[in-house]
Amino acid sequence: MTNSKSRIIQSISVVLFAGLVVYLHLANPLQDAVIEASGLRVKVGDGKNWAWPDMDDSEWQNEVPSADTLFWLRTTVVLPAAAQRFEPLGVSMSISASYEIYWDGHLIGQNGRVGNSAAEEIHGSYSRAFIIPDTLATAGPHQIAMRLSSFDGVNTLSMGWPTVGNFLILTRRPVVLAAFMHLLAGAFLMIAIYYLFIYFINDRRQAFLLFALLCLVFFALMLIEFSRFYIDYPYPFQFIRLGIIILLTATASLLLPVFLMYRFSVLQKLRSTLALLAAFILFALLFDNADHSAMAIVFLSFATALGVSLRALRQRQPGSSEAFLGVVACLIGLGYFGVTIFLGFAFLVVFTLLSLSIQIRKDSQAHEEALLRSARLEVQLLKSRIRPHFLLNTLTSLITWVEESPKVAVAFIETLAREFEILNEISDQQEIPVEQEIALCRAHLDVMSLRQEVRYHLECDGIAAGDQVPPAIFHTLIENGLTHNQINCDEMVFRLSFTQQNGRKTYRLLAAGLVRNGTDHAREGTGMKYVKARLQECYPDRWQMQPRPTPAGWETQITIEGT
Amino acid sequence: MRVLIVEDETRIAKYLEKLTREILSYQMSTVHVCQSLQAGLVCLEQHRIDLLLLDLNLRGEDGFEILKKLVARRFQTVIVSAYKDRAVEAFEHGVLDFVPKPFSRIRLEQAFERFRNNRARSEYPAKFVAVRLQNRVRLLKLEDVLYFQGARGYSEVHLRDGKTELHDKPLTELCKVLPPVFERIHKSFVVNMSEVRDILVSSGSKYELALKNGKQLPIGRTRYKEVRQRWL
Repeated sequence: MTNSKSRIIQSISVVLFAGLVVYLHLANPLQDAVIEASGLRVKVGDGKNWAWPDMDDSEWQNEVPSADTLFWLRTTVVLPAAAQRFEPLGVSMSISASYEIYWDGHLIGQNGRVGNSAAEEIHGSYSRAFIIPDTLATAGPHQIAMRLSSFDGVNTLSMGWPTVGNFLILTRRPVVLAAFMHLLAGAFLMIAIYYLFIYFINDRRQAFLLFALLCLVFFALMLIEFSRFYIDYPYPFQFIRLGIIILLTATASLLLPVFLMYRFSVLQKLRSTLALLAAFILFALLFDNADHSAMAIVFLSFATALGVSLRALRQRQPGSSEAFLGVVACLIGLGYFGVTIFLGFAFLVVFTLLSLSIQIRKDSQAHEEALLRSARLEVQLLKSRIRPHFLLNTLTSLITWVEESPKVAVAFIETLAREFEILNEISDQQEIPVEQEIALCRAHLDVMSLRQEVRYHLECDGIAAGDQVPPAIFHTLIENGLTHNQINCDEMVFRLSFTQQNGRKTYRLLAAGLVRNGTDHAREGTGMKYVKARLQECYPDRWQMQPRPTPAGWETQITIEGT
Repeated sequence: MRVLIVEDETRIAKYLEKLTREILSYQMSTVHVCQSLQAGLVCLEQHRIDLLLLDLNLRGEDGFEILKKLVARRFQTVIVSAYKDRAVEAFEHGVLDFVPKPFSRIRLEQAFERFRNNRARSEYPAKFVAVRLQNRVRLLKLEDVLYFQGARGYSEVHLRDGKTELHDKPLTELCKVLPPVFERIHKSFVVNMSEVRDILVSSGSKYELALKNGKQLPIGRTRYKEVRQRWL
């Protein structure tokens, strides 16, 4: 995908996201349909007439008591004068208690069984909606009274305010929202599975695994966040559920910045991850309120994520702009935890998918190029042997031997055959044992000795048996040495030496007595290019080659780091 | 006959020398062998030679730059090279022959035959004629040449634009590499026949060739018949 295409997708996504956030902020799904109750009066204890509207509750308190008791709760709701209604009114609430609910003194519902002790109490569901009988749903003020007990809750009561409205809307709309959010969650799940497969089957890059886990955590988070609209569960479970949500949030908060760190190859990734984890634990210990700890954790997480993506953006790393936009989207979404944070994350996921697919494409391109390069080098190596300069000159020399000394001619043919044989064995390898390389060099020198009537030798010093080298690199350097040898002599020695120190391998090839003039080595021949390409293929950016004149002759030093 | 062999491979150089001596055995001949181009160029300064046997791919340097200088000289050049794919290019520069490696004695004999036979023409005609200027060599396109005129063992090159240059080879040697459109009409003239307008016959069996630019060149009495036959 081209950069411009990616930019277009980014822009469209940003506009879409901004629109959604604004829409969700303006349009609370239940806003137009409900009337909230107002004025809370609370009294611990029990009384026969406490449900009646005309009872004086002016002495009552307006704070919810600690959970471990039986108490009453009263509130008022004003119904507008309505046109004729054919759909029932209802009241809905989420409270971590068992209760009875009275409408103007009439019992209209019961959730579990209220009791004076934990043994007497039967757990009610956390979220419930009750129908208000038509005869009671007249215009004007009404009183809602509730008799509650919450012996199995945590100290503080978890409570969603009672709201009154069209019963169908009250019960249906949250489920519709949950359906949409589950749809999104399903997408996260599929993406998580996909990247898990990629990680385990194809490409063991940690960023892929982290991304999969992040998607998985968000999937779980959404499932547990929105399933409450259609699953009835006893109220004590609400506290476990909140605990799980906080844990998942903390996990996502850890995974997001860590994923970005691995994605953009931040140094000291593991250390940073551990530091982040330590800070999270510290926050959890520091605040007694779990919500405050969660808030601190989320903000630290986003600060880190923003920092990492900004750094990547400054370094112009591929995918950094997508990541940055995604993190910002999440941050905006954070304003309203219920829905938009998940939408924000959805955008982060979309952006990340976009940049990952671009990267996967680039990687496969790079892989193909590497294969092609490898094939080209092989062809180049084989071609160097059938190039007329080598092959036809060799055959011409052979003719001269045939006429002069058939015995030598036969030896010549054998030597030549050996060189070709070795060449055939190694040409499609990326690395070969150094002994094989030396054998190739010697075979070549034997051929050249017979061709040019000069005694060529290769002496070796300190060679580590079994060390791997790219094929035909010393062979090529020796060939270069032969080509540039201008002196007429009877004998010429090449010396190959090897040293290894601190994970650094050094090969030195000396062409004894060889003097090369400046213009010669300034102009780089195909041979040198071949050697460099082979080294780069095997040891990307970890090698050096330095040709230089020494008193003993022309020396080429090849250094390979990090072995 | 004086021959210079420039070949970097010792064995091949020796072999060439041996074959050359055998082939030319009945002729008085000297054979020089040089194993590098530099040594070859030095040798050319010191000795007059008639034929150069040259390995074109000479140790990394661009053979054609060298070749340009060599074909401008008086002697004939025969390339002995493994780079057969560059034979045409070599011929176009004006070499007498191109012997691809590996070669046989018969093939080499052919090359010498081409040199000895004055009526012989190279396998593939030249496109250029090289002339030595003060410090450099210029390749003139043969299609720009009107005619060559022999002068004291050299050849004057008369060009379409009226200019005249000097080429080192005598007309007889030059003819061996020229395309068939160049006809030797006279002991001292070789003419580009595509530039001819007419043949003029004057009284006293005086024959002349009229060129398109109005110039008139004499046709040798002995060659008139042949020229007439071939071109009219």
